[in-house]
Amino acid sequence: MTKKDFLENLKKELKNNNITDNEEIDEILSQYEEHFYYKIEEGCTEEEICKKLSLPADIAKEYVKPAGEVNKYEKATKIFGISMLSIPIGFIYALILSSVVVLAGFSVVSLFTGFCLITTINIVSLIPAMPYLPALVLGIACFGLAILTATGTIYLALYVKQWGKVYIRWCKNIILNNQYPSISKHPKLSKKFASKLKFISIIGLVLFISSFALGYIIMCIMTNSFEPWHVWNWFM
Amino acid sequence: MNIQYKKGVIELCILSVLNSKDMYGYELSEIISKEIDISDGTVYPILRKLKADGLVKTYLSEESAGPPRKYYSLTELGKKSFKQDAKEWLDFTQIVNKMIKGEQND
Repeated sequence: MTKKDFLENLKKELKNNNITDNEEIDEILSQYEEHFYYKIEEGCTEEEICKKLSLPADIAKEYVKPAGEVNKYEKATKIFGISMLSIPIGFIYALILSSVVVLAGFSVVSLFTGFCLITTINIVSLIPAMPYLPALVLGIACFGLAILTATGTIYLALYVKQWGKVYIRWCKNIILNNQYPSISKHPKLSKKFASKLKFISIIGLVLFISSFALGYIIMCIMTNSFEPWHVWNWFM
Repeated sequence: MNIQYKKGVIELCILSVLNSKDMYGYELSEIISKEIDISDGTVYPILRKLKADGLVKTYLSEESAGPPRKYYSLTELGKKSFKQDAKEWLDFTQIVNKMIKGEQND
């Protein structure tokens, strides 16, 4: 085997052993080039030098890092990097998390508004004056909206939780050299739960759209106008 | 001698040699393989592992003839690690020697 054969074989074997970073390969090869250079200076032939070295296939195996083993220095650097990255990501995550709270709040407000419309208990005088029939229908629309946003909140919360998990797993894998399988971006729901949630959201959506449209039509008929709010002086 | 025995101690030998003086890869390889019967180049992967572990660092030195030499030197961590490993090795071999020679007091 010549020097050229040896180096080419070693390069191939390193790649076979999942050492694919070109810079790393070049660094390893240069060490053997140096070895050949000095041995030739001492008067050895390339053939002799190769014989005294181990086989490229065996050498390549020596360069494989044991799976999952991470040295302290590299680990510390990675932990520092991940911590720095986690600050802005944490802020964005908090923002997304707060949107869950906002959506949940919206659902509660819809429920409360529907309750006020139906029972005609006008607690904070925010419900405009209207006859009971459209109030009842619009109240039902509010319930529909409450249901729709409640399921939306559940969906969003599940996704936000999942994304948090995905991020934590990703960080762990960076620090520990891919020891764990990555997690799906979609939350894992039981089929029964997922179909129930879907069914309830559709009911909410249908209830909201149909009641809202019906309420509006009733109001238009009652006031003989497309803008019943002007007839009932809502904005006075 | 068992090859696994040797591999375990070569790391300590490398640290020990580098503790007295910085060396380039070939020089170090020759010193070690002169003393211990191993294939040429056995130290190269070990040097790389020591570097990845932060025990040694490297620097290049241009030569008037030949390629630039990559010198290895101990880091602070490497020096500390060597002192501790050397002590453990000496304590350990002392006990082993005693046992082999049948000097234990029982």
